[in-house]
Amino acid sequence: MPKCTINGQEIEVDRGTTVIQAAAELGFDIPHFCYHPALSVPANCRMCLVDVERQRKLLPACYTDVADGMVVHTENERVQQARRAVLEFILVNHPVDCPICDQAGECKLQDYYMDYDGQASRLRTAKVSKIKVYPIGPEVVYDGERCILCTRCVRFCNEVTGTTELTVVERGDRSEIRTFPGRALDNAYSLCTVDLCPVGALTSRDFRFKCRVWLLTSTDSICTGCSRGCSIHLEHHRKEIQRYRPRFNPEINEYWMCDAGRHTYKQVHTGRLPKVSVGGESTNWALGAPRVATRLSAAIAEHGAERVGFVLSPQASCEDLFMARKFAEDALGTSRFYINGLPDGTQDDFLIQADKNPNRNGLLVMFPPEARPASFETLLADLEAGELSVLYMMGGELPVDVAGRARFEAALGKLDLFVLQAPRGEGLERLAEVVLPTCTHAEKEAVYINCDGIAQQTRKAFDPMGDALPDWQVFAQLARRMSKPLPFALLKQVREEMFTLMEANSARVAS
Amino acid sequence: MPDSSLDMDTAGIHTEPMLLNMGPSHPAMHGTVRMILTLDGETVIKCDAEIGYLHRGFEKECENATWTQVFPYTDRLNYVSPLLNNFGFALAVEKLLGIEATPRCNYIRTIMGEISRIGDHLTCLGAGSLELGGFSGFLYAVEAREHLYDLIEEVTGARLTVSYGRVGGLKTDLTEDFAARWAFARERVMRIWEDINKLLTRNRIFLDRMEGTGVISQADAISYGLTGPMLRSTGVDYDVRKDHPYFAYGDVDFDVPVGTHGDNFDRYQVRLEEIKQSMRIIDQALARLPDGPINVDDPRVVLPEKERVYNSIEGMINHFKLVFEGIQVPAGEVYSYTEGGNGELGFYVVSNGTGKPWKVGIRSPSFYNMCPIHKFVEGGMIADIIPTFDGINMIGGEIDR
Repeated sequence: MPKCTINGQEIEVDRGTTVIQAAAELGFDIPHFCYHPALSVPANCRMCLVDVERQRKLLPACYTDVADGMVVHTENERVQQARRAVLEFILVNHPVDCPICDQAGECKLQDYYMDYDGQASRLRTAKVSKIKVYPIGPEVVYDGERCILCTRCVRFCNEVTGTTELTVVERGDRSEIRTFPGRALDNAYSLCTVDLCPVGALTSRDFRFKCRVWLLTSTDSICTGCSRGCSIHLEHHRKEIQRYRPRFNPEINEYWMCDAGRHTYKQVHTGRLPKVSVGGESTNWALGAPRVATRLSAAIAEHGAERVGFVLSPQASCEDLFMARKFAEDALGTSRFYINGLPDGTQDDFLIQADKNPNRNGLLVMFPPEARPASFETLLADLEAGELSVLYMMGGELPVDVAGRARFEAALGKLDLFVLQAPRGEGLERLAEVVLPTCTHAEKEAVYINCDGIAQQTRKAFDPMGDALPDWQVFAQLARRMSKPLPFALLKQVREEMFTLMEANSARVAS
Repeated sequence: MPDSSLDMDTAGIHTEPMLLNMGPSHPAMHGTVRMILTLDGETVIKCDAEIGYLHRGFEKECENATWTQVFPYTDRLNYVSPLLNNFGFALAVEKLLGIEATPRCNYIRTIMGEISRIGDHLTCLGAGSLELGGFSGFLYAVEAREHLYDLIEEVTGARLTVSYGRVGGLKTDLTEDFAARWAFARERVMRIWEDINKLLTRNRIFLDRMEGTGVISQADAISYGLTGPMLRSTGVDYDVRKDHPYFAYGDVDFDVPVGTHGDNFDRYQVRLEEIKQSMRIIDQALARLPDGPINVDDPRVVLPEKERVYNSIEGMINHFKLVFEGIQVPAGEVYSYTEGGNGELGFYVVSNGTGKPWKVGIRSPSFYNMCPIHKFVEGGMIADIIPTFDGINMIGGEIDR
C-alpha cells in the first residue's frame, strides 16, 4: 500500500488511488472541472495541477496515481500560479453571461475565479463567438460560448448510458460539443449532462429562466416517478417545486436520475384537490369530518361492514398505508382490501422501472403474504357483481385503460357511498360523494420502500396545498369522529408500530 | 403604597405620591421612551424608564444580510450621525478580514465622520434650547446643520440615510470642490456657533435650568459605563479618538474638552467645544488629504468598477459573487470601537466564514448613557428632566436597535 505526503500530512491509500482522491480524504479540496468520480479521467482541464516533488512539471491530480514516498503540495505558489493561468485561459473566450445564465450561483467557474484567480482581464482582442442557443436534444439546450470543453457530457453518453450521441468538433478555440450527424441528445437520462456541466453550457429546457438558483431551498426527498425511488434534492421556491436534482446514493441511483422522473415534480402542483367536499359541497375539516364520519357509520350500519371495500394506493407512503389498514379494520370493520395505482410503463436495465408506483413494496409488506389485497381486476368484478355498497378509495390513479376506466365509472353507480381520499382526483372526484384532500410526498415526512426493498424518507419541503393533510392524520381524525379512535397521535407512534408490523411480515416472506 | 416614608401627612393634609407617565408621546421624550415617574409635588422621587419603542430587530436582521447590506441598517442606529456608524461597522469588518483601509480613505472617513459629529452635537444643543423654550437656539443650530447636510448630500448623495461606508473603502471619493464647499460651510457654521454661544452660554434663564441639574459623579459615570460627552463632563478625558487612535486621528492635533461638575451645563459646554475641535480636525485632515485610491486593492472585498463588470467576464464574476454571496469574511470574532456622537460605539461582530454575519452585537453609547437616568432625575424637579434627558441625547434608533 503506497504511502504519500500531501501538504505535510501523511496518508496510506490503496494502490490505484489518485492524488485527488487521497487529498480529498485528507480534507484538501483540489479544484477541478473535467474530473468526475463516476466517469473516466481525461485530465484535459488542467485545473487540478499539483506540485509533486522531484517532478519537473506540475501533474494533474485526477490522473496521477499515488506512488510510495510521493510528496505533494496542493497549495504552494507554483500551483496557485498554474491555477490562475488555467482560469485566465478558460475565461479568455467566456461570454459575459452571468446575469442571464442559469448556472450563475452554482457555477464552478465563478467559484474558482473568486477562490483562486481574482485578476483582471488582459484580453485586448474580441472574444470568439460561437453558437448560443443550440437545441442539442429535446430536454437540453447547448451554449457553445459558455462551454469549457471538459467533455463530461461526452463521457457520460459514452460510459453511463452507452448511447454515444455527443462528440467534440473543430479544433482549438473553435471547438464545440455537437451530436453526431442525424443524432440528438435524446437518451432517457439526457438531463444528467446538465447536472454534470460545471458551467452553464448545457441547460435544462424545463428549468431554463424559471428561477435563480440562490433563491431555491433544497430539501432531501425521493423521486416518486417509479418504484426505483431515486434520491433527490427537491428544490423549491415559495412553495413551488422548481426542479429535481439527483442526490448521490450509491445503493440506488448513484449520481443519476432519468428525465421522466425529473418532470414528475409537476404532479405536485397540477390537478390537486384543494378542499374537503361532501355531497358536492365544498367545506373544511372541522365541519366536513363529522359529516363524513356520520355518513360512513350510517352506510355501514345500513349495508353491513362486509359490503365495504377499501382500496389502497401504492402511491401512498408506508405510514399512510399502515394507518389505512388500521382504519379499515378497526373503524370501518372491513378487510376487503384492493390495490389501485398507475399501470405499468416502460422500463430499462438502468434505473427506470416498469412499476410507476413508488411504494408497492411498502403496501405489500403491510400484509402477511397469504392475506394480501386483491387486484384492481377483482375490485371491478366485485363492483359489477354488486357485492359492494361502500367504497373507500385512496388515490385516484387506476391501473386500467380507457375501457377499464369506463367499466369502473359505470360500476360506481351501484354504490351507495364512494369516498375518494387523494392528493389528485384524476377525474374521479366528480363521481365521489366525499372527497378528502391529502398531501404529496413534498408536503410531509414519509417513508417509501423501493423496488429493491430499500426504505427511504422524504422530508417536508413546504406546507400542504389548500386543506390537504397527510393521509394518516385523516384516518386518525375520522376514526375519532366515528368514536373508534386509533391510538396514534404522533408520527413517531405510527412509525414504531408500523416498523414492527413490517418486520414481522417481511420475516414471514423470507422464511 | 407599602413604603411608609411616601405617606406624607404634613400639616394635617393628606397627600400621596402621584404616578405620572411621561412619554412615549411627550414631545421632550423624542417619541421613543416612556418614563414612569412617582412625584411628590414637583419633586421626582422615583423614575422608571421604559425603552424599546423603536426596536426593529436590527442585530438579528444583520444575520440575514450580506456584510455590505448591513450598512443601510447602521444608518438607522444613531440617525443623527449615520456616517460615524457606517465607518464604525466598516472598521470592525476590516479588522476581521485583516485588511487596512487606504490612507486617503482613512482621511475621508475622518473628515466625513467629524462633519457628522458636528451635526449630532448641533442637534443636541439646538433641541436642548428648544425644549427649554428657546426656539431661536434651535433654529440657529438647525440652520448650521443644513449647511453640513448639504455637504454630506454632495458627497454621499443622501442627507440622512447615507450608506456611504463600505468594507475596505467608501462608496465614492470626495467631490472635486469639496474643500471650497467646506470653507463656505465652515464660515457659516462658525458664525452660527458664535450666535448660539452668545445666546445661551451666559443666558441667566438657561444657566438656571442647566447649572447643577442632572449631576452625576465621576465614580458613578465610570461604574455605569458612560462614555462620550457624558463622561467627559465629569472630568474624565477619555475619548476613543485620542486614547485608541484610528483612521487619521493619530495624525491630527485636537483637544479633548472636559467638564468639572458633571451637570447639564458642563455637558452643554463640552459639546459646544467639541464642535470647534471637530472643525480643527477637519481643517488639518483636508490640508493633508493624501492622493491615491479610496478602496483597498482586493477583489475579494471591493466591487470592481462598472466598466469591468459590463465588459469582462472576470469583472462580472467578481461583482456577481460579491453581490449575491457577499464578502467572504474568515471565521472569527472581533470587538471594534470608535467614538460615536454620544460616546464609544462598539461593534461586536462574529463571522462563521460566510458572506453573512453570524452575529452583530452593538455597544450603543445611548444605551449606557441612559442606564443611570434615575440617578440623574430622582430627587430633582420634574422640570429638570427636560434638560437632563436632552443632555443624555438619547437616540431611539441606537438605544433600541
